[in-house]
Amino acid sequence: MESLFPSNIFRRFHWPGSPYQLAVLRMAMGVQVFYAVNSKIFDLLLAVGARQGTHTLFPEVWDSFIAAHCVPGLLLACKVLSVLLVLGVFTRLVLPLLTFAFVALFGFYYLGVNAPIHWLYLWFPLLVFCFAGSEHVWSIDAIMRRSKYKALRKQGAVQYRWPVELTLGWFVYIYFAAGLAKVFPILKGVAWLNGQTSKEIIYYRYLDSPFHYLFGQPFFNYAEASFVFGALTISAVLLELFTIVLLFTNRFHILVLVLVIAMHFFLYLTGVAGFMQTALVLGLALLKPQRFDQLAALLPSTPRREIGSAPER
Amino acid sequence: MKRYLPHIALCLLWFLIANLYQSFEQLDKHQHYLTTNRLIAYVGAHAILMLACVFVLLREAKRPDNFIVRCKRTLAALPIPRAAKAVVGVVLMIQLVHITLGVTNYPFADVGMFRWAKPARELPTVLTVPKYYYYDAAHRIHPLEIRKQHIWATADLLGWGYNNEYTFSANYHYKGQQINFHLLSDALRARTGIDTLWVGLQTVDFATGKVSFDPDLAHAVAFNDNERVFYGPLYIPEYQRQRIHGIPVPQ
Repeated sequence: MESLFPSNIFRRFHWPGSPYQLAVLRMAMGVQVFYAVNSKIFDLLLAVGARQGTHTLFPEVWDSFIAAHCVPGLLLACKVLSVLLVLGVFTRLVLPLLTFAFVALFGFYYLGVNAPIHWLYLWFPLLVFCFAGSEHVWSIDAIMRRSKYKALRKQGAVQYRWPVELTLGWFVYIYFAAGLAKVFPILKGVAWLNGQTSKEIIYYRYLDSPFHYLFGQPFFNYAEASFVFGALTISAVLLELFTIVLLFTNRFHILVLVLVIAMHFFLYLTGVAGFMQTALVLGLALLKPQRFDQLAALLPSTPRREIGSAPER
Repeated sequence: MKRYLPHIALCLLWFLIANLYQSFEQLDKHQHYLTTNRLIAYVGAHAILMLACVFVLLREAKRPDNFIVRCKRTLAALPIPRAAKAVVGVVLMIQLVHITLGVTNYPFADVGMFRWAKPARELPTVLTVPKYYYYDAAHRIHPLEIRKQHIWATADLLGWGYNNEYTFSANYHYKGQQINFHLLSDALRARTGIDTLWVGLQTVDFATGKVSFDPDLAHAVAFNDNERVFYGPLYIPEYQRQRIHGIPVPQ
């Protein structure tokens, strides 16, 4: 029976992928983790030792132990392992270790900073990549053990698709759940759409926002009621809920990616920063695998026979 | 389209359960709406729709090739390693529970940032915030724009590592803490030679668009201690408070 959605995510799992897309995602995640753990926020959190009323799934004794004894070690581990991940050295070992260290470290971070920055976007893709062949190309592992990885690549291009689709699924979860949280329960959702939350973000953060640094003065009187706040609010919720379409068809991947990045760029200008670059990292999963094969073809070191295994869809 | 009816019923059932649970969870915020009669109607409508969904699902379950069998077959055929499939399945189930309940238990999240609705109201036209400032070599005043420092193109005082997460917490979460002030002062002293941070008031008048800065310490202390400040009052060192009363600043 013909499906109503011939390019839904379950079908796409069976389509060929690109090892180069996995390699780029692996490197992008490594760079992002390295950037995230090189933040002075950890020095600040260790110094203040305060919490924000947030919770983890782990027992209190675990959270306290990490905070008291493990943060410097976890920071060092994450820095070293993320560099190894980018280079693709001992990747099969590095990925589980990095996933563990990253989740343990950002549990400490989340208790002190009640924002889902970095960890929400990265922990699941890191976990998925523990089972994927992201080191099959563009890695030191692949250079050191050519014949082994050549044999692995010959097992077919479908093995490179599922980690990308699961990462895409995680992207959908983040934005769709964010949209649901704003309208759930419906009683509150109707009130939320009045735009007051957006208004207060823009109003209270104005003096510490790039809008102020760039333009020097507000565009209009943010203190008064304006249709702009309602329009921004409704657009944001509609866009977040619209991301679920990525599970049903591959027609809107680029549109959704551009709109999400545009939303984050606007939020960045209002002083709500931190999400755009992690969204861009996951956004790599929304690009067609063929684009990465084409990128690989531009590099002289890539074997000609191994490029173009993923047909255009 | 008829073949998708069970899928739609299952999604709708989940939606109703989550919506009803979160409505009761936040009932205190909706008391103005949920009077007794309305509450009965609200719950009743949910119950009727839920029963309709259950009816559709039970009818589907009687078929030999029902949608649960089809879903199992689809999942079993996915070209994902068995261990990965198990791990991902467990993660997604736990995640679904968190979205349903509307809670975050790191690393599982309902992604509920900015979820709280606020009643529409006008805000004061003038917004004033206490802010640190410093003098440059020519004795000119510069407000310390901490949030500027995480933007690569505008960071003029702090460098690598003073990213969004740090500047947000230093500027909002922990701005009232003494240790935050000392870490910031030490970093500025080491990198730029700024030896002292003073406290002033930055004001924006949204009606005129004018932004101004008042470096008067006495005004800043009075405002910081007595007015409502976004994310709470800023930490002001004791020697600056003493200076208001004429006690000289220790070198």
